[in-house]
Amino acid sequence: MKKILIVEDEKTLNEAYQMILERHGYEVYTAYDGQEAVEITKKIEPDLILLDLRMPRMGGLDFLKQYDLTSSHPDVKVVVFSNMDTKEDIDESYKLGAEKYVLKAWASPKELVKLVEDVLA
Amino acid sequence: MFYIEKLSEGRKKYPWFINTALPAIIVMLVLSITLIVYWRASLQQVESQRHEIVSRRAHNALSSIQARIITYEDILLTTRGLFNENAQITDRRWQQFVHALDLEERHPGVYSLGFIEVAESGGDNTAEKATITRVTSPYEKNIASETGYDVYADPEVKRSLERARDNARATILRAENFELHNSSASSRKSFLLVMPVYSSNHDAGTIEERRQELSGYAFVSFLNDDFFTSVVSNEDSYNYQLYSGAIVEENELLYDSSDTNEVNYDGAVSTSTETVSVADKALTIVVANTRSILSPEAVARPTAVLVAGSSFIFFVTGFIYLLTRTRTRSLWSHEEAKVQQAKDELLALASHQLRTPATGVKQYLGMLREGYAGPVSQKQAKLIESAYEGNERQLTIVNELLFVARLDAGKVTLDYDKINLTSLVKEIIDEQKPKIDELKQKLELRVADSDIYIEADKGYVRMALENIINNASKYTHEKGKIRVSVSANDENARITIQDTGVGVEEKDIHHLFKKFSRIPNELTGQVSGSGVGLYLVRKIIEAHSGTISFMSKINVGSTFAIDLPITQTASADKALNISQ
Repeated sequence: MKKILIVEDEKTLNEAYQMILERHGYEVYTAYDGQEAVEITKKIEPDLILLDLRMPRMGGLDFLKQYDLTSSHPDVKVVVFSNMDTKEDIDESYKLGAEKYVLKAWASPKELVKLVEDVLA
Repeated sequence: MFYIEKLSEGRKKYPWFINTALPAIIVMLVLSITLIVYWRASLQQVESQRHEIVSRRAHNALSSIQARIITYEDILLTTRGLFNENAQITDRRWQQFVHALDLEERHPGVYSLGFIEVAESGGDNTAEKATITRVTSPYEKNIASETGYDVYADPEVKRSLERARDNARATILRAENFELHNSSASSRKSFLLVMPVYSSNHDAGTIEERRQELSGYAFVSFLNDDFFTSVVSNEDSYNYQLYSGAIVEENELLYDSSDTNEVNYDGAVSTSTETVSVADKALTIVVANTRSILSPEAVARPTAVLVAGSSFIFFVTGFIYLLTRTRTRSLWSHEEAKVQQAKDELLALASHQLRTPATGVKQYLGMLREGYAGPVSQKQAKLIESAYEGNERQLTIVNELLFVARLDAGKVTLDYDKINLTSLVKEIIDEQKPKIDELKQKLELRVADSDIYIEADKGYVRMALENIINNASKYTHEKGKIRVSVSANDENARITIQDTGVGVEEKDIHHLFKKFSRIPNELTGQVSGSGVGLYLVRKIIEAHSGTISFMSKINVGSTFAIDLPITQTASADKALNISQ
């Protein structure tokens, strides 16, 4: 079973994504900010991380920097999932090794599932 | 958006000129005033220099005159000495004396030398006679014929001579009062310097004694012109005027060098007036320069000061202006950058804040719709669908507003890619299908046999086409028809969207593509949408160097025609700019 880590500070969204992905057979872990994500990733290695950017304590980009995706965890796929689409954020995300940058507001549950399937394929 | 708009306007009205030019202007004014003061001072200095030179000339001339007169007085003293011995002297003695003096060589200004004998007549003072007993001139051979002339005949002359007698000093008289010279010389003005001679050798002390002991007067005569000309160094650069008395009065003019020298005044003139006492009279000299007496450098100095000063001011002012302008510009652009940054942050935050709750709604309605909470009845599905759509519209509006705001900020860049236009259009239509079917509208698609590819930014082209097709549906009646066709020629791809809808009045067409234009929709009876949709479409098409045209007829329908170039000539990333 593929492991997915959801890093999202909005409680309603976090729970929604968890519900959607668990229903489709994924093992879901959740974190509410970058700090929590760091702690969780110390214990497990997810197959996919759905990463929000704007979070308290530690944001998504800071987490990525610390996580050192490309060298330390080359098999982990990161999809940046944000409602901000500034050019700087997009460029930085790809530079830090993100697979995709997706606007949260674009994905309905069905689309979310398809997105995850495509990335993990 | 309105706030942001206003900021942009403010920027254009920034008072560049005042802020950047003011320091330079102030400096220029201050420096100019200083320059003018300095220039005036140097003009003044030139004036003073000139005046000083002229003054010195005047002074020197007068000194020379005084010296000369003293020389003549010495002659008279010597002559007095001669007659002191004996008032009656022999002719021979006289000739010897005169010859020894060598007047012609040593005192060329002296015209004649002579003696006036005063004889008492009948013990009555009033009948006194003063007769010229001796007179010699190197220039007039028969001047001796003047002897016998009674100088006391003229009362003025008598008074002057008696005064000289009483004061034991020399006096100067004008020769007009003397009928002394018969020759041509008499037409020329001349003077006499007359000194009393007393019978005793020592100086008589009291007036009484002097009157008693007066034996006569020794005199020298000199011609004005010769005298003054020889005293005054005859130069072209100066004009000399000599007046009798202490003040300048026209009828007291004794000598004017311009009588003999033609004078052309050339340039700036300084005049100096000085008075000196000569024997018992006052003499006033007026000297003026007739042309420039200063070195060319000195004269040119004020102008040089002005020119150099002006150049200096010009460069300093220019320099300061440029400096201030550069600094102001950089400060302002720094300010602008800060404002822009604030704007961007606000935008990003606002869009994020607006999107987040809507995203939540999207997930939960989506889950409901997809049966996560159990099977959904048709009625329920319908209700959920309406809510879902409303939410989607909200998200679309946020996207559009964000896009427009970014456009204004010049922050939109296009990423060009080779995209399959045909399949993109098909995709959009498929997405819109459900809604269109619901309105029982017919959507027809006409495409070429082979897919058409263009170089464009997929996301934005999609946004534009979605917008137009959506519009078509919104403004068309139920059961109306919408036809979309995609074609291409060598240069452009063309997409036309035609509907059989309500159409737009001619007067409103003009507003259609403007920002925030809202034309009431007859169908829905309300104005919907953010008002930026078509503005957005226009901007996107324009950024691709494409064109969009619109035709409409009321109650017949409307047609949008979009042309997009197959290839883009500019660099890969093209920035959209603000021009309205």
